[in-house]
Formats: sequence, structure tokens, C-alpha cells
Amino acid sequence: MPQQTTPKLTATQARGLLRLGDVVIPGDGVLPPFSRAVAATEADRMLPYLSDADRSSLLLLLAVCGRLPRPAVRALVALAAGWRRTPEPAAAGLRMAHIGIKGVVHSLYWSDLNRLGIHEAIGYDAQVDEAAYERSLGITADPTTEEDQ
Amino acid sequence: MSERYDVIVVGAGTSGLNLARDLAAGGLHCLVLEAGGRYDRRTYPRTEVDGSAQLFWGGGLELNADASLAILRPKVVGGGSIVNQALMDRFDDVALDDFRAASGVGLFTEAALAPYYGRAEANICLQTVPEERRNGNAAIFAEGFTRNGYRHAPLRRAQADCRFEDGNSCVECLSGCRIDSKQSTAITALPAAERDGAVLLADVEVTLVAERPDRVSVTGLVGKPGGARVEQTWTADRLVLAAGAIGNSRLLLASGFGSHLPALGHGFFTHPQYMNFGVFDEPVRAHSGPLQNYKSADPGFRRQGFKLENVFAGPSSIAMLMPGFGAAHLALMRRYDHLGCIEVCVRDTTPGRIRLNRKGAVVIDKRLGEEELRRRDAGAAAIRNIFLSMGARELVEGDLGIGLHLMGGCAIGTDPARSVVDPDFTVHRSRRIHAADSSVFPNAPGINPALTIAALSIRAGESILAAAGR
Repeated sequence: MPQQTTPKLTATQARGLLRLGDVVIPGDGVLPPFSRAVAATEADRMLPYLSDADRSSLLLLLAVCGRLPRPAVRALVALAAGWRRTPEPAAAGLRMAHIGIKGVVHSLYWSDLNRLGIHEAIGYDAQVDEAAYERSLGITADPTTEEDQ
Repeated sequence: MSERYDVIVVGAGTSGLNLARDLAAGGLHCLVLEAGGRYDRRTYPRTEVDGSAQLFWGGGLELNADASLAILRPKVVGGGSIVNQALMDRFDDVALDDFRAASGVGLFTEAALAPYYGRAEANICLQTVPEERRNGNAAIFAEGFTRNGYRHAPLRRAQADCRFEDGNSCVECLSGCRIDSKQSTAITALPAAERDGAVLLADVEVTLVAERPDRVSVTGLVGKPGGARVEQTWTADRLVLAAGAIGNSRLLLASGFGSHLPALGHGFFTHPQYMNFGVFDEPVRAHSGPLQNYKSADPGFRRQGFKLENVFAGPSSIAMLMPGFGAAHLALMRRYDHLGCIEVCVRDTTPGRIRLNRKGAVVIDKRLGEEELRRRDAGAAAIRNIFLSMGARELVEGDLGIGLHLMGGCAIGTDPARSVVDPDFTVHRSRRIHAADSSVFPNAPGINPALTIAALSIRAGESILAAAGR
């Protein structure tokens, strides 16, 4: 019977994610750098859903970044982001890396998982008032839940 | 001995659940298998990262072979109707004439499809997004169209009551509607199907199908991502493939049907979409309220093979689309609430192909031809005109093409050499396998496909019930 086990980032891969993230999102006076906003372990929430091939590629990339000095990580990110300057088919490989890097880093950071005010800093205040909807259905909130909040 | 069903439906999206509802109502004992999870308004993912990971194949997106398109393929009970913006348009004569010419199928006329469109529309609540609730992005779209002499029209969406007076923003419902306003098949068709005895199994990835003289068998892996998965096989009299263009093609190819269906996997289209941004001095707040109010309705655009949409997305998605990295990228994101956004959606003409590699994984060969590039650029030029006429300080082209309307691979048609499904929605040379979802589209209509998928599924349901003697 096939059985899937979900890998988690190793220490080296976690270091690689944070290095990569800080190159992509270095932070500014208001927004924190990636490594201060995202715990590397939060990437584990994505891993089960990736295809086997994508997960292997991602983990390899992160492991490499975990061993490279920061300037080399920056050069790698710049190379991938500069795919337009590269002829095909080599550009396709760079695009793949570029999209993969952006996908992981931006998804984790801009989701503002730790409620560090990232959404507020960019004016994102979208919400859905579920409590009002439930009141309209005649559903009353559980008072213990409200107290917990 | 496992239970035998009258029909197994693979895929619980727009097509699969519409079919399950009608087949169960017609008296068939129906099993629906869905690779994704089953959520409801209380359990939909609450963050963008979780929404992407949990509701789409590939943990968010898949890429075509040359990584020029990000393919967004829903993987959730309700399918695309959970994660889309619920735009519901009938196809026009242009689309239907092209469908008929490519397929030889007489159903593709406005008159022949009208009763099925009517039934599909009657199954859901349809509303025009209220003008008074429009956000700054919609205002830019409408006013910019007017200033440039382009024609636009209000959108008709499948929604019951978005309760904008409560301050709700539809961008939050791109990972599932938390107030059951969006008329997904999970809340419209599925409850009716289950009332009539249909059984839904979520988290089942079907890997193989086989047709025997007296039955079909369906084998899949049961279990949630990351956990143990167990192989199981079900049998039924009939099989309905409703796993979408990529899912249906993959399943039939993996099951050996490619040897006698030469068109299988061919003719894949995506309506490539490119989001373009204008940076404005004043806040636009494109994320606020209804995400979309308008569509382009310009005959010139239709003739040129593109349309423009009034769209936006959450911060993670916008960050993905913004070019570059580091401080420059961050500076753009700091202007998130000052961004206007319009998307050009290309009616693609160069067919792609879905195939399997040696490991059995899907490979999507899909390139943009010269004509598609011309259409994309023509749309981008119109967007520039709109933004500049509205005073945008800076223009930013999105970094990535998106494939969201996934169509073809199992085209309907009269000729088995050029199609996979016959005019009665039965796979050529099969007596027991059917399909009616977007995989049967013979080309790209250039119009949002959801309503037509529902209409075709209702029509296919009639054929299947008749074939089953009901």
C-alpha cells in the first residue's frame, strides 16, 4: 500500500528559506524582513500539498541556499528574476526557479500569519463579518468562544 | 464485497455536482469521488497560504512545460465554483459558431442550448453587482472605459447576498465563501444530490479507470495529503469523468485510452490572463467590497480576441505578480492599496497538449503563439490607455501569465480522429464512460466557462439517464 509521509524542513533547509526570504523581502522602516516575520517551520504547512517533484525541487533549492553565503543567495535570486535576459530554453528553467521562490516566500510572508501588522502596513483590511451573517440566520455566538477571544 | 453503484462521478466541481444532482434525482445510485477536501463556510482556509495550498493542485499552482503559465487547478469539493469569482455568462454566437464548426455538434447554437442555460440559471441565485457598492478599482475601470470610448457592462455573478453593508470584501472569498453567498455547487447542487441518495467521498485521488463489457471500475488512493493513503476500487454501470481538462485527460491517458483515442490530451486551452496595474496617488482600495463590477463589452475587443476584467487579489497573489524582488518589489507592495488592476484575458488559438511523462506525471505543453501574443499586447495597450486617462502615476505589468479556465483535452465531436467525446457526451468507442465538463470544449470560447459547463452537464445528464433506461 502506498503511504505518504510529510517531510519537514531540516535545519539547513530552514536556514536556506530564511536567507532566501530576506533577499526577496529585506524589510524597510515599517515592514519587517522575511526572517523576522515568518518562522521557517511555517513552510511545513505547505509541504504536504506540493507535488512530489515540486517538493523535491524546493527542498533541494532551500538546502543549497542554506549552505551558500548570503551574496550567493542574492545572486541566485537575481539570476532567476532576470529570466527575460536569458534565451530560451534556459529561460524556462530560470522562470521555474523564480516562480518557485516567489511562491513560497510571498505566500508565507504576505499571509501575515503572525499578525505583525503586515496587512495594515499595506492598507489591506478585507474582512467578512461572519458574526453578522450568523445573527441574520438566528445563530447566536457561543459565549465561551467570545470570552476566549 | 464493495457496493456497486449505478454511476460513479469523478470530480465534484461545477460539472460533477450538477450531474450528480440530476442523475440522483433521476433515480441512479451515484458515487462522487473528489481528490480535494470537503469544506464548508466555517472551515474554509483563513489565510492565503493555506487557501492556495489546500484548495489547488500542486499546493497552489502548476506550471506548463516552459513555465510561461501558472496553471490554477482547483482541488476541492465544489471545484472552480469555490475559488472563482462566479461570473455567469452565456456563450455568444461567435463562441458557439466556432464550437459547432470545430466539433460538428448541432447542440452549439443559442436556441439549442437555451433550455439548458435556463435550467442552469434556475439552479442558482444570479445578481448584478450593485453599482453603489463598487470600489475604487471598479470606478477606474468604468470611467477609464468611458474616457477611451470602450464599452463595458455590469457583471452577472452567482451570488445570493454578499452583505456588503456589513463591510464584507469578496477578495476574502477566493478561498471559499464564508457566508454562503457565492453559489458554489457545494451549496447548490451537492445538498440536493445527497438528499437523493448520492454519496460523496472527498480526499480520493482516482488513478485508474477501466471499462468492462458489464461494468466500469475506478481505482483511487484514499487519504488526506501528507497522511497514509489506501488504494480502493469501486464498480458501477457507468462512469462520468468530471475532473476537468487536465484531470480527465490524465486519467484516460494513464488508463490506456490514448491508444484508441488519438485526440486525447490534444486541444488544451487556458484563456491566458495577465494582470496589469496602475499606481495611483489616491487610495484605490481594490480589495474592498465586491471584487468585480464590470466586464469589457466592446465588440472591437471581442473581434481582436481578448477581453478586459476588473479584478484584484489578496496580498500574496499580488506580490507574486509584481515583478522583481527586494526593496523595489517591497516599495510596490507598500502601494498595494493604491493599485488599480485590470486583467487582459486572451482567447487563445494555439492548442496545447496534455501528456504524461515516463513517471506518469502530467506535462502541459502549452505555448503562446504569435496571435496570442498580439492579443495580449493589444489588451495591455487598452489597459495602458485606461490607466493613463485616469491619472495613473506608474504602470506595472504583471510578472506571470495565469491559466485559470482550463479547457479541452477531451474535445466533443463527431469525428473520432479529432475528438474524444461524441455528441451524446459518451467517450468514442465506449458505452459506459461519459464527460461533459470543460474538457469537452473543442476550442477556447473567450467567455467565462462556468455557466456553459453547468448547462452542458445538465444536457449530458439527460443522455446518461436515457442510456441507463431512466
